[in-house]
Amino acid sequence: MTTIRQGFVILSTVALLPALPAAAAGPAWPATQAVMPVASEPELPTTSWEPLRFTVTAEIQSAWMLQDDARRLWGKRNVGGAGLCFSYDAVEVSSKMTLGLDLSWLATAVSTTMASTAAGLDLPEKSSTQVFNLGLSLRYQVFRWLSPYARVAGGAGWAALTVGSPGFDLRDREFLYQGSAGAGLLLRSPGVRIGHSRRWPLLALVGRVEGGYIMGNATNFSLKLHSDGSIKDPIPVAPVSVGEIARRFPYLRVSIGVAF
Amino acid sequence: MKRAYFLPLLLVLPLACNDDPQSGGTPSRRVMPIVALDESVAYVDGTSGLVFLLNLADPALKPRLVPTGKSPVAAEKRKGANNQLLVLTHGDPGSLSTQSEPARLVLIDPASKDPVTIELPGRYDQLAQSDDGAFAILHYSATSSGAGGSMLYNPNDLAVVKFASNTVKSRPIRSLGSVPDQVYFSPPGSTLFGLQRNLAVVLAENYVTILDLDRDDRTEITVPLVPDGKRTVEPVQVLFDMAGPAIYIRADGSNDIFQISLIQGAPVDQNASGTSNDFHVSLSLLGAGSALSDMAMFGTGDSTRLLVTAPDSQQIVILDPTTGSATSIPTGTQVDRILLFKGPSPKSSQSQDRALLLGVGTGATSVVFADLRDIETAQGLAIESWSITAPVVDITPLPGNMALLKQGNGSVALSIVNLEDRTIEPIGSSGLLDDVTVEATVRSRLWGTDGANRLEYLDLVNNGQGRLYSGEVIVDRTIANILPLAKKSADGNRYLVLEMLDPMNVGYVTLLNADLPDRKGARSAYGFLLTDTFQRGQP
Repeated sequence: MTTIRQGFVILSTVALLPALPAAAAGPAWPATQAVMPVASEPELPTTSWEPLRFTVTAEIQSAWMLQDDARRLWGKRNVGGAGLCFSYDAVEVSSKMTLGLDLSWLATAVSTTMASTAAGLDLPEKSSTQVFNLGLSLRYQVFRWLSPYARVAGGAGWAALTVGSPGFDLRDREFLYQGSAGAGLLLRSPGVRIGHSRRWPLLALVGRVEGGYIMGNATNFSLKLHSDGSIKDPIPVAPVSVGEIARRFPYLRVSIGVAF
Repeated sequence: MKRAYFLPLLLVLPLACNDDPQSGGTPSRRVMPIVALDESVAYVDGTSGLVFLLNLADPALKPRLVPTGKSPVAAEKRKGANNQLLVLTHGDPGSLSTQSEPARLVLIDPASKDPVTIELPGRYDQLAQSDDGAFAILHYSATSSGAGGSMLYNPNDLAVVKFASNTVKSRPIRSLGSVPDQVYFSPPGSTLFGLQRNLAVVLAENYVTILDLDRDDRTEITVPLVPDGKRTVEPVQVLFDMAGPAIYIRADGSNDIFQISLIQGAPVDQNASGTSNDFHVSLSLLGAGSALSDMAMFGTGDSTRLLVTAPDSQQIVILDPTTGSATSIPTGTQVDRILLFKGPSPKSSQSQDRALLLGVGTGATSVVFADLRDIETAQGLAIESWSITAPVVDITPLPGNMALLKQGNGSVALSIVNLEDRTIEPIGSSGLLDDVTVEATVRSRLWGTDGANRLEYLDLVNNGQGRLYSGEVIVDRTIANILPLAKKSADGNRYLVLEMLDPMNVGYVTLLNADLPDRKGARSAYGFLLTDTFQRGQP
């Protein structure tokens, strides 16, 4: 029975999230609010706005390829990626300002076709990137549920390109490094303690929307005929450079996760 | 409240506005057949209008990209001692959204930085060159579809290109109802009436046109072959006797050889103006039998004769152009091809005009040797028949008065004919032999593949390891084409270029030393047609 009650409390909290602006317009919420009066049990579970230092979010990123060469590589103007981010509020600069650190991983993969064959066949092309970023953000709490922030990040990873069909495919992988600067909004719900004891952590829903600009090293793939290892001592094959591709693009990053 | 609901839209919006620049029918690439230059190879991409010039001495094998213009339609090596690539383009007639671009003939010299571009007066699709590469004639084919976008054009308009000055001149010719089919050029260095002269003969159904290439302002001479127009003949072969002077024409559908005599002096119906020719022509018919399949000219001066094959009647015909007399000699087999040579024979050590006569595609299982001097009097005594194991499907002349016979009777068989000794030497080859390339110019070597990744070679002369020395090289993938290059590259190697099976059509070659082929020294380039593809703006 207790478990059902706790679940109800959490769902109620989530359902309240869209209504937060209206609530914020009124009197400030109490720091701790009893949701269900239970005479004979401890004052649990409860919600709380107390600061939560750690955040784990799943994110999607959309990047706009402004350069022609990048659009040709990806086969589209808009490239989406997905990843994970782990954040930590490292320093409380003031009562409303917090300096945070984050570590994120973002993967992008696109399969497209490069029209390039005499027989009218399209050349299959797969492009992907894997980037690990370390970010530094400065957040200012406007409301307890809304904090604008600015963030800079730097990271490294790799980009891979495969052109052609198995048996006659060209491949290469390039090292990437990049930096980004952006700004966004962080929204959070009140924390909910899901256990009976105060040793249970408070959990809150967190969402972020961030826009910015990424600048990285240009990639210059040197594609080489992929060998499946069936030929013992293959004849050396000269790689082909498909041209330098700029990595400068604006991005929009949206993430959702939990803070604790 | 509404502001909060707006947030999820931000998630969806970027994914919704996906304007893929490659969607909507990006044209697929047309890559023209590889062209072998002296020490490099070239690919012409019909889609991008780029030439990919592979310098084989470059260890990176990075191609040099040379723009040619839109819609290349023909690419070939310039003839003669010219290490240049000729590319004929259609250009672009233009539209509301694209600017028009003229048709061009582009000369690309691997040794020079910039190509030479000659703008053409029409969007031609056929390119014919003189043997020395001094002239080119561009014309429309009978099947030219709209001449590259022009709705109205003159299919009998020719363009004569002089490479000495890199100039082009439009030379529309009279039409008697047909369009040009082939162009023949007089042998380089010919003289006519004491002056150096370059003539072109343009073949069309039922008539030929003679052009004086040295004098642009002179009118063409049109020679109807069937004045009454009651039948159709298709001229297919031209021989020049500039000493005669005469031009001989063999035509399908005719039992005669057409003799066009060139006579000094302007035509009587033309004023001796600047535009009139300094010679005129006279047409004669030399009766030669029926279904004539080949002709050759031998002898000089008054003893000039034409040798003509008439396979249906199993005979050859010797024509005396001076008197018009014809001498028929039975061959006992259907011969339709002539290989002339000068040399001794087993019966005579004298070097004189002789011929190997054979049926290529007639199914004949014997070949005929003919001693051409005094053949009109010796007749049957001047010919000698030799049996062969299988019908001949192709013949390739080799240096040293030899020839390679490719015989086919289900599988490929090869024989070397020593024209002087009259010996036919079979070459052992397995039934797997798929394709054969003869390198006659540099090493006299036979290259063959098994249709897969095995390259075999056989020295037809002693190249240092003995005559008929053979070897093989296994490469990684299937060989599609064998191209032995004529000259050494800057790195001192003369290369054998193996065009490999390339289903992706992105360019795949394997290079071997043509003189000492060995897998250890081999190297490949794959995908070079994609060089800088993302920067070029088109695949």
